[in-house]
Amino acid sequence: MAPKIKYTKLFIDNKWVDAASGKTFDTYNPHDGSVIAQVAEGDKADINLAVQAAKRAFHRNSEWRLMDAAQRRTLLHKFGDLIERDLEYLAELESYNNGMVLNDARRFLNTAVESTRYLASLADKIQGDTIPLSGEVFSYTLKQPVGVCGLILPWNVPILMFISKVVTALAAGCTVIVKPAEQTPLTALVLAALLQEAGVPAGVVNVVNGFGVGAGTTLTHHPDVAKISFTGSLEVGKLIQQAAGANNLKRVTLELGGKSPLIIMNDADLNVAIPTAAFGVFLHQGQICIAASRLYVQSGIYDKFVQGAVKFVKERIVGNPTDSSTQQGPQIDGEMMNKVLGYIEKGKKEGAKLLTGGNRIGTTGFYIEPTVFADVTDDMTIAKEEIFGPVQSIIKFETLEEVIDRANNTNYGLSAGIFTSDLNNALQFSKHVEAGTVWVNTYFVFSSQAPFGGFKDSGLGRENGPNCVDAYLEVKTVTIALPKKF
Amino acid sequence: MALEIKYTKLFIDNQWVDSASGKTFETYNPHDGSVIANVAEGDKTDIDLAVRAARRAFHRNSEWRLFDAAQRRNLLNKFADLIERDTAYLAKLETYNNGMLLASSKYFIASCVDNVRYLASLADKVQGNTIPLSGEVFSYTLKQPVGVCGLILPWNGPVMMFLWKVTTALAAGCTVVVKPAEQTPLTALYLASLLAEAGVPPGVVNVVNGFGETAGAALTHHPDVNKISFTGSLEVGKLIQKAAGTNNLKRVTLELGGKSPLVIMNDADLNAAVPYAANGVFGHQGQICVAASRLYVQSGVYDEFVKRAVEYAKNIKIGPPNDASTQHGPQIDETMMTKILGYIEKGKQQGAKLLAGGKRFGNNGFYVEPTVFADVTDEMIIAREEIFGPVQSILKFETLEEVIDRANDTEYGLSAGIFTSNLNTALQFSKHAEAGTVWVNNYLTFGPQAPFGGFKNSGIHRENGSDCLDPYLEVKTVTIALPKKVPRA
Repeated sequence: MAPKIKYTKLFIDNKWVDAASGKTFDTYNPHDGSVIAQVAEGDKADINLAVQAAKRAFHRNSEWRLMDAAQRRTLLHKFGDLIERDLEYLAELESYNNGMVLNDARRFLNTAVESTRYLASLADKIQGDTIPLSGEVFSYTLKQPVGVCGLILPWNVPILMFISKVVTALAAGCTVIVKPAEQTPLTALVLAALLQEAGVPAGVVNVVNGFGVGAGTTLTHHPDVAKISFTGSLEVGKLIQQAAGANNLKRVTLELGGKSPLIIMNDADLNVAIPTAAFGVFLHQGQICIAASRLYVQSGIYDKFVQGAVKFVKERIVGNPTDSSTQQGPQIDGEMMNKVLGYIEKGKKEGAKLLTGGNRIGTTGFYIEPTVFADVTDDMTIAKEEIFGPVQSIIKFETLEEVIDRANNTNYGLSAGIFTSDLNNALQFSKHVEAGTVWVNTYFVFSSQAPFGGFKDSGLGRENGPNCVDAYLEVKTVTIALPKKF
Repeated sequence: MALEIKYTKLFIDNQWVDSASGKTFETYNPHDGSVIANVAEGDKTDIDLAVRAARRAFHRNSEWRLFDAAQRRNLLNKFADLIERDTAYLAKLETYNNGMLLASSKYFIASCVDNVRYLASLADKVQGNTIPLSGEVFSYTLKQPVGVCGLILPWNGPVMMFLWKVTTALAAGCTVVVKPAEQTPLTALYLASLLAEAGVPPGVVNVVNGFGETAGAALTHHPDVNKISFTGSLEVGKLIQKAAGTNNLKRVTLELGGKSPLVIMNDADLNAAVPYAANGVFGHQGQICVAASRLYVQSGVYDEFVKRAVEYAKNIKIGPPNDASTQHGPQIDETMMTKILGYIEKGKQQGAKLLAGGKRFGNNGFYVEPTVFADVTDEMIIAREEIFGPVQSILKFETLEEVIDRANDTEYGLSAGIFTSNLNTALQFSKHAEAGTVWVNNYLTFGPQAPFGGFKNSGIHRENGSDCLDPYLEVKTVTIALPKKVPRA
């Protein structure tokens, strides 16, 4: 009952083509590790072709550049409608190639449709300013698309990341080359087909699957690419920032990792805090950049919270992603699974108290038990490094002032949260914590209206929110001599 | 008539200190190459101390962070008043160390006072949004200062660049470590003293003079610096991009070089176009990033324009920068002068027609004659590489469509200009030229209200304009659970 895989080639200039080398690579189902398709493997030659197409499609006299902003908006809305039409198929394919629980995939797809509609609506709201410049002049700004953009996607939420980057870039009037993660090459190809169906002119959207070293590095070093947007690890993010100064000067947006602190104050409502904290670190098997991976619980309710957290997690159902009762599926692949298990071992070795989970489940696929450590301290590896797996680390604290400093004592800064009923606690914490998104009495609430991105090493720039197209635009000031008197 | 130089040490934590190594370096007067001062030479150790002070001054409970935005605004306005008070001295010091015409430094400093006031006024206009987020929530954004900023200045407009970068960073609530260009270390120190006088708390502003490979590299690689803003060459700009991904992830603003095209259409008013074109490339001896260094003249007016341009260049008066009648001063140093003379040779070698100037002027200091080449073609080196000197290159073209493509055929994109009386020509060119600033029937008009910066390899981000604080801010989204209905008690 597996979803049919319709597209496995590269999508360049609105055509399905083999890789120049003829090579393909396997892609898998994380539920059992089986190979589900062979996908065209793009490399330098293919990226060069794609960039050439995108550059041609960006020329000032191209069909795409001659469209009104409103026409772009309409086209992108149509794309949103097509995603909605094919939502079930896309969710099944995402789950099949990613291991995402099918119910979660459907939720993410609904978010993707909403997101497409929001971002599409920004296309004809791009405004410059008329400026009261001193002198005998008339001055104004134009905001113009930056050019050819390389969009490099992560494997954890492939469809949502495709939408977030591609629709923003297109709303701004840019042309794009998408390099999906090598673990999850399939859904991007289906979305490209839908964009073509929506009427996107040839060369505006190109999808080249392949590996980081090869397709990815060619893209991040290509002298005709004006901008890179990347979501993934900090390690690779730094390489991309370095590459942005290697040939031409590239504009860079980065959405990287996190080690997000979630604070539970003594006056928190534990009936909400416990499930939300669990959701915050176990959703999608912990494979989310904003996972609430450091759980600071105030001493007054510490024992009660730990007890409740363990009980909650023990009831979590791990199983086949397509099962409607499943709450947790497999990790993406063997490498990540082993990495997570390695962190669990470190946690035990460094003296954290393992209260539930800690082991691999079964011998096929990449399943790990939801795991809870308590009495974790800030210097432990599991409290400092991003695990990207279903591991909750509970840490005790005394005062708000202390926990703000401990929460900020990291190079990351993607998100943070606090549970409290006290007004001052809520406002002080949200003001002082160094994180791009702060949740109060909730976690993971996401929607396109709100800017998203990292402080410090968690990233550069913001996606979503009404100004998100700015990262894909250049500001031009025009100043025309105009005498004050006729 | 040597000027008194009051400050030569490093300025760290509101104190004047020697460099940790005790080393100093010489700084010069480009008019005659003489040494005018020995300045403390900062290195990694000094940068570390400065960053530490800036980090401490950025702590959420520091005096600076506890200021209201309006207090920052007032402090920066006071700073503007002090600059205005000391304009005469600052202009002389700038000219003394930079070779800028005294008339120009006075003019620039006056415009800087206006610029500082504009930037100061942005401090308490930093606003986030309340957001109609879906769900049972109340959501809003905060814009918060990014942290400790490393500001690396060029030598061509030292006072102006210090003021643009420092005032913007402070208006945003950041703390800064300034690394002035090694050729022009003096005016930054004086401006730091004025900031102290204006009441800036210790650690908020630090100035560490030194060299690029030592103090500069220490700053661009420092793991406790959140952001770098740099104005200078493309070559160094690329190194800074790379450095920004080497330790921690740094936010980067770059204002780099240019090879800006100025287009003269057949219907241009030549009485305006000739002087604007000359000033556009000879102003400050061609040492500006926006120099109109590719002059495209339409074939219908080509011969007439060349004639007038040559005559204009030949009448430019070269002399000491302090002289009120001087119109053309020295280049910054021997390295740059030699580089420019080298480009002039290449121009001759590659077949451009030398019609005015072309030589060094005199034997003291670093003077180069205003130089005019005609019949230049796009593939010549003088038409492709940034010369940063008083060399006007005139090229012929036929149609608007053609010249737009030729104007855009460069890795640079800082500015462009056009002289025309035709509405469609003006609007088409300004729309399609790939440049951060486009001037129509004028050139070099600047003001703090207008965003400034480069397309493509000319830079990233914009300085000035009402959004210029954004690169010094981080956007934070706060989302608070709030039921749509008031819960029953």
